[in-house]
Amino acid sequence: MEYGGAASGSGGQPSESQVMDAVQQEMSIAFLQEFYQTVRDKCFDKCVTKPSSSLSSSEQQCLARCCDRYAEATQIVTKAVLDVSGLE
Amino acid sequence: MSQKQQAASADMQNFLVQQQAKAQLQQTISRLTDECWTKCIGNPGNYMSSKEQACMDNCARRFLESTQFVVKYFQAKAGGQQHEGF
Repeated sequence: MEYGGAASGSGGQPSESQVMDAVQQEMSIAFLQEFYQTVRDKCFDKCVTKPSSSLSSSEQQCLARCCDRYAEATQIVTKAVLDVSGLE
Repeated sequence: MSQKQQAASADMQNFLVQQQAKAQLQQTISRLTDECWTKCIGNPGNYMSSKEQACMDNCARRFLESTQFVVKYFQAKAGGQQHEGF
C-alpha cells in the first residue's frame, strides 16, 4: 500500500487519516474490480452465446444493455438489503 | 486484538470496524445480486420490467429470510434432540 504525498508525523510515517484514506480507496478499487468481473461474467453468458471472430454490434448492444440492467439490479438488491438490515 | 491494533487510536479502531461491516454488506449485496439475476432476469432489454424488478426485490428478501430460517431450523432440531435423534 502506498501512502504518497507529504509525510506527516515523525520519521515519514503516514498519519492515521492518510492510512484511512488509503484503505478506503483500496476497498473502493477492489469492490469495483469485482463488480466489473461479475458483470462481465453474467453479461458474457447472456450476450455472447456463439463467439465468433469479433464482438458483433448486436452483441455489443446486448452487453451495454446488460451492464445497465445489472447496475439497476444491484440498486434494487441494495435497497432491499438495507431495508431488511434496518439501515435505511 | 493484536498488539498493533491496541496501539491504534480509538478513531482508527472504529474506522476498521466500520470498514469491515461495510465490506461484509457489500459482499452480501454482490452475492445476492448474482444469485437473483440468474433467477429473475431473462434477456437484458432496454429496461427492467416491473415483473423482473419485483422478482429481484422478492428474491433478495426471501434469500435473507432463508438464512434466518436455516439457522432457526437447526437450532430447533438441536433443542428437540432428546425426542427425535439427529
